[in-house]
Amino acid sequence: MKPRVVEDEFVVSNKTENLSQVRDFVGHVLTRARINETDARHIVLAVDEAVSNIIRHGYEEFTRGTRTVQMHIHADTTRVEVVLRDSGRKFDPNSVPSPCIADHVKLGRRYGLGLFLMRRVMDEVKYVFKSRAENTLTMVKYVERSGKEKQRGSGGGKNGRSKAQEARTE
Amino acid sequence: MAGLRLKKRELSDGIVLISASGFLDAHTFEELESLIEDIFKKKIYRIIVQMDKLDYISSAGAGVFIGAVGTATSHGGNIVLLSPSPNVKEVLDLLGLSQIFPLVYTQDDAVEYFVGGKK
Repeated sequence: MKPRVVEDEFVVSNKTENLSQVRDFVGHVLTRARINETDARHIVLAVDEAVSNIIRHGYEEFTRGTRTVQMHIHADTTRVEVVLRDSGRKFDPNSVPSPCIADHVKLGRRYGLGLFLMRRVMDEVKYVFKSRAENTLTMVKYVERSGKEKQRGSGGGKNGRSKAQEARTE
Repeated sequence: MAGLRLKKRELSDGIVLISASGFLDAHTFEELESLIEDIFKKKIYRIIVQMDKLDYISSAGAGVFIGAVGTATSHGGNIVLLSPSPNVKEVLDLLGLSQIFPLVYTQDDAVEYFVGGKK
């Protein structure tokens, strides 16, 4: 079976109730791209953590109106790149050191583990802040293709918009 | 839309068993957090969380256990994690929590943890 290059986009509003749709969307894209299950599970986790952080922290001060998180996924034969854009508060993950989990538990610190997980399961986590309040988070994972397609997720739902581009590599 | 489902059952010896199924993420974690707080208000600090039907956990979900374990242990109890599904176990491993929280695979072993002298 020929490997696929898959590109897709998804937009969700800043509500944590949309997180299951985010996971479904990412899982569905990675299934179409025939990414192996372990890598796919890790990428879904990283995106969920990143979008959760944007909604709960980046948009924490924006209590009026609806804000959005834009996702773009590119999967090819060697790598998966996920780009997230939002207009929330500036946040640079590079400014946050990796936590000591034992200390975290000892002190009862419930927060700050999402970024730790993103770094653990992805190969690259890059952040860029542009003027006019645009945050861009790019995460990359170098992957292997699975030997067969497996169903994973059910795709976008009513609160998100998705458009897909797919092409078989020659 | 699938969410988090929680069932609470009081066992003997001041132990509460919480059965969690569905998704424990940044949207649903407060439900479990609230349930554990209610249990603490009843001065019960021995808690078993059954996780074999929990399909997904994120750091927000794991954070519930991190936030609660200090209260539990300071009152002579603990949070025992029972039979996490493979996906959930993987996240606990990634976070390093499998080495910190008691992790067992039968309810008898979970109860034994509390009544057998370990806690």
